Amino acid sequence: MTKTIFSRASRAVVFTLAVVGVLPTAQAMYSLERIWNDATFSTFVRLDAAASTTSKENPNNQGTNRFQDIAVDRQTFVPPTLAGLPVNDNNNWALPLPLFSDTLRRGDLVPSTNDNWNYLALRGESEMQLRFSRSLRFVGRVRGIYDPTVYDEFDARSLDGLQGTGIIGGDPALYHGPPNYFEARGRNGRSLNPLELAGRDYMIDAPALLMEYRSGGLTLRGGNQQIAWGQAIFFQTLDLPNGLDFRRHLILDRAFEEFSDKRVPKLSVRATYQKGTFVADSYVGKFQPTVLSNPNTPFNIIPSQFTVYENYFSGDYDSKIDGGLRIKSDYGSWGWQAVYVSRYNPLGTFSWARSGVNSPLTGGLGSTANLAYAVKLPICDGTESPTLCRNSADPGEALSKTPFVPEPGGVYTGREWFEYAADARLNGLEGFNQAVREFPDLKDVYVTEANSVEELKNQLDTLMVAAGGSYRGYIERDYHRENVFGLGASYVTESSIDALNAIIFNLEVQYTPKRKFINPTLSSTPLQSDEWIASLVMEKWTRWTAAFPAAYLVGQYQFRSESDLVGRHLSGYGGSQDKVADGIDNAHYVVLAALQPFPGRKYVFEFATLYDVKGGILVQPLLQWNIGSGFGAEVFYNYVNGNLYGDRTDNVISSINWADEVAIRLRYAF
Amino acid sequence: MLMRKLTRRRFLKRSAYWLTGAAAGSALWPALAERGDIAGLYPDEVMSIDDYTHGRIATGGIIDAGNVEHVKALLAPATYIQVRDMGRRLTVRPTTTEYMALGPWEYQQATLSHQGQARFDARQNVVASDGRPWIGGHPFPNATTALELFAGLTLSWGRHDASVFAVKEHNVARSGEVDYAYEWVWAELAPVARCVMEPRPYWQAHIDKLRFNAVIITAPATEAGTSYVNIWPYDQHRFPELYGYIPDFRRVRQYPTNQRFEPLVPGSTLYLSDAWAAGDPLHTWGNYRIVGRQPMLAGISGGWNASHPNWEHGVHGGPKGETFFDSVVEMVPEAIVAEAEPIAFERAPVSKKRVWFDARNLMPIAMVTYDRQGKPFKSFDGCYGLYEDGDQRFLDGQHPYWSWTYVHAFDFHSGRITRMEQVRGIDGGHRTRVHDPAIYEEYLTRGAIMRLGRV
Repeated sequence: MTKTIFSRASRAVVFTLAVVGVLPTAQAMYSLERIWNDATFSTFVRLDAAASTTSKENPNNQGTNRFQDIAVDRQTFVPPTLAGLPVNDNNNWALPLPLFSDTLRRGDLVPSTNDNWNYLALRGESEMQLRFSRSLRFVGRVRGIYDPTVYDEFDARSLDGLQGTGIIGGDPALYHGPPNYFEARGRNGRSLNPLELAGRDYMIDAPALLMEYRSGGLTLRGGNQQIAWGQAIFFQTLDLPNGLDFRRHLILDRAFEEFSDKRVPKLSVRATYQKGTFVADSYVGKFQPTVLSNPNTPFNIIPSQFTVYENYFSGDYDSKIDGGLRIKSDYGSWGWQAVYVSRYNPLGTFSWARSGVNSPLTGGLGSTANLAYAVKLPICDGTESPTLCRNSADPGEALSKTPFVPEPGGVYTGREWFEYAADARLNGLEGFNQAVREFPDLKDVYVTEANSVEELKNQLDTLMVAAGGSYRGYIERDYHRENVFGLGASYVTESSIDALNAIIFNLEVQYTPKRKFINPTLSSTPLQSDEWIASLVMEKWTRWTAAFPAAYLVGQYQFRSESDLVGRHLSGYGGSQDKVADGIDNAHYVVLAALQPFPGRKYVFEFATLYDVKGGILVQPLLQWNIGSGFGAEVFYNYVNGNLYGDRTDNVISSINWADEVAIRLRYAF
Repeated sequence: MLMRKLTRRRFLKRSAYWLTGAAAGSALWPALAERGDIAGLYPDEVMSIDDYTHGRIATGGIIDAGNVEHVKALLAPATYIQVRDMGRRLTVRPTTTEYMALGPWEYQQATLSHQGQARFDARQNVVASDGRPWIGGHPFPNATTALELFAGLTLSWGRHDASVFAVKEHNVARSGEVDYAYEWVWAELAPVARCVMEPRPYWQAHIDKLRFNAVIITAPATEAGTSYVNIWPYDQHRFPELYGYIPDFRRVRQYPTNQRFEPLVPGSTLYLSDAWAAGDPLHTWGNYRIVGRQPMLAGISGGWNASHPNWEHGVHGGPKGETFFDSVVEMVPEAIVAEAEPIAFERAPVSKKRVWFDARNLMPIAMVTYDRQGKPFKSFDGCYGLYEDGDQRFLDGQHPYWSWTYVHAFDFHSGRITRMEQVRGIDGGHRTRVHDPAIYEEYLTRGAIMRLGRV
């Protein structure tokens, strides 16, 4: 059914584009001279810089891993299936191997980095508008960003030779050298965004490249565009058409911009029709996923012990079509809206992936394991009888059929495994077991499902020592269609009491049946559940004194039944180095923000805070200075604290707990 | 010093002339309606600057710091200061006498046709004799109260059924530096009291509304797309609905309706409340009163710069020679001075406004607002006129276009000046035009400001 709808939708895209192209012939076209004379060109350049104000560093990157300076004892144990022991609670990874234990400090193998800069980029945007008739215009905006890469960078080449091979899996442009700040690539190397040119330190894209046709209350836009249905700071309850681009300073730019610079533009056709107070807004477009920062870049949010296979192209998601309709109307002080969107969730899901990377076990224990494996009977189903049979020529080949590859720069200890599983809101124990279940070749190399955190730590320490260092985990990203329904209502108060007058209430509710979430076990079967998201926004402009323009005050609350603010399922919450995630029931977020212009609006003070009731807070005070003559500046501070109270992994803010910074943006427009 | 005393003495003598009712006053309108010209209705002294100054300043001459004392009593306070201290110069034109040259032809006609048919209903809204909304033209051409003056002005700002003004704005610091420059579109459309556009006098679907009004910033890039749409109810006790598109947000945001004393863009001294000296619903201000009548020097004609392809004006004065437009003034034989106070705005920065109305067409020719301490806050002066100059004309149909041409807004506190001029067009294909029904869909809906906002 859905396929049929979107097959029709794709034809509609083609039809509408054709209409947009053909209709002008029916319009009185302007002369070339007038088109040129009326053309508008505008450009701005901006320097963005953010410096860390704390010694904390992004733990998701190699050089700033939490275990860089921690010496961890790795005691090895006899694999029960190697020794032919019955697999039970008493025997599982409980017999120490006396000769192969060590103490490892990760920083001795992986060079540490120490950065003061969180972000430094020079950015320019140029826009051109051409009006061909009263009804038809072209808008083209090109954005270019250059990052001088002044950071203290991790370079994967520094691991060459470790564990025999260095890092050999994954996209070389992302995993085999210094960080790649801008390229968003599928596993085939193609750019995820069709109108984007990017390299390690630059990107050029077209946030707007479209033709617009207008007739009466109807406006049609066809081309590459962003569609903003958002109504709130930090929240995106009904802001559904576009994914987000986290490559540019994550969500730590000026909060009051909401997501205007973050929405990933998509090739789409948008039709807006207004009659009276009724507005219908619809779109059909090519699915574009959310863009996540690359490994070892300052705002990377995926632990760099993972190698990610992006299946956007290989999964044929690049040919998928999204579409949605939003209708709004007002009646006096009341307003309402309804939204329906059928889309591929742009965040997608991650799951264990067969790596296809053959890397040998090294070191003393690794050599022993290789030998033990070699003496097993070949061409025999080792997954069933791992003590006697093998399924591959050697452990490296066996492991290449699994998500775990013996490579440097991965997880080195059981402690690290659980620490980072908790950080990523995954279930460290069940995640491992799920990999064993889904990739039976792990059993062929003596891996077994674990029953407890302690047992798995023992097993992991043993496996890491046998690998000659660490294992990297391979995961893949896939996308899933969902139908999203939304309802909203707004009300503007009228009261003779000034404090209660003209408060704008806006309630938005999103319901998504059978939404797919990243399974905290990284199972290839995503978690599926019905999700409710509800947001209440209260806005008010109030004038404190006659001398200052009115201040804008906003209070927001959001309830989420299944996932956190960035879409991770709440069942992955609550883990730690010693505890498996036990989840939280639902998430609650509160936003308080204010904007106070100074007389003449030369200066504007802003304040925004995002509070997770489970114990995290982001506070952003900002001063905007409209210098004049085309110049402007913004200075702001991001205070991040994910450890206010409770368990660190019970709140979303702790995922960026390292990001305290002072930032400045200097712009010149001409 | 002697000259000042003489001037003051003469002014007091002339003030007595106006206050004792010797001015044309209420007798003006019947005579003007009958003759279509004010010739002979006023003493020569207030019809001609030559007579007023006994030849010290001649028609066609320049008022500058050297001779401004002779006409101090004829100038709005800020204009006087600007000429005396800031290098502003005013070129004196002959007095316009013809009634039809003082407004759009159809509006002037409607005023004549509909005279005597307007009244205030129980809610103090202007209605026609049948109790329905007003039917076009000025409802009270023979206004005797300040409420009638402001009611007529609030009913129709630009005196066209629909207007798009392409505007260039320059904001000048006390240092003379132009530190903020903007281009914007001002659009207004009346669904009632229509004189030209069909259906008239009412667009039935919106008969409960007074006007649609939008301001859309088109340049510079940092502010481009900033837009506001006001939808005015006909009931002048109610605030307009106010929607804004802020490029930073990429979406239309609803604003509380009573926030009308905010600069729309950095560096500007303009508030929505300042528009046309009647930017807010009539009954959100009160204590309307006439405080005097006097002759004035103001821009009534000749402000259209046909010699520039885009109608842009030359500038002069101030520390860098860019503070003022090249300005023209002429004798306005009778200006009605009226005041009003904001009564529906908590903590408004303005305590009252004083507006000088040209008694002939009841358009505002100057305004001063006062801060909460009662001190002058901002001053506005500008120029209207027919858009014809010799054999060059810009028509709004069958007749030469009549409109405002430029405005100065002076902030007494900061010394900043915002100067705006109506131009032929600005980048993006926005052209000054009137009486085009397409203006509604193009500029005056929420969909329109979203479309015109940053893509």
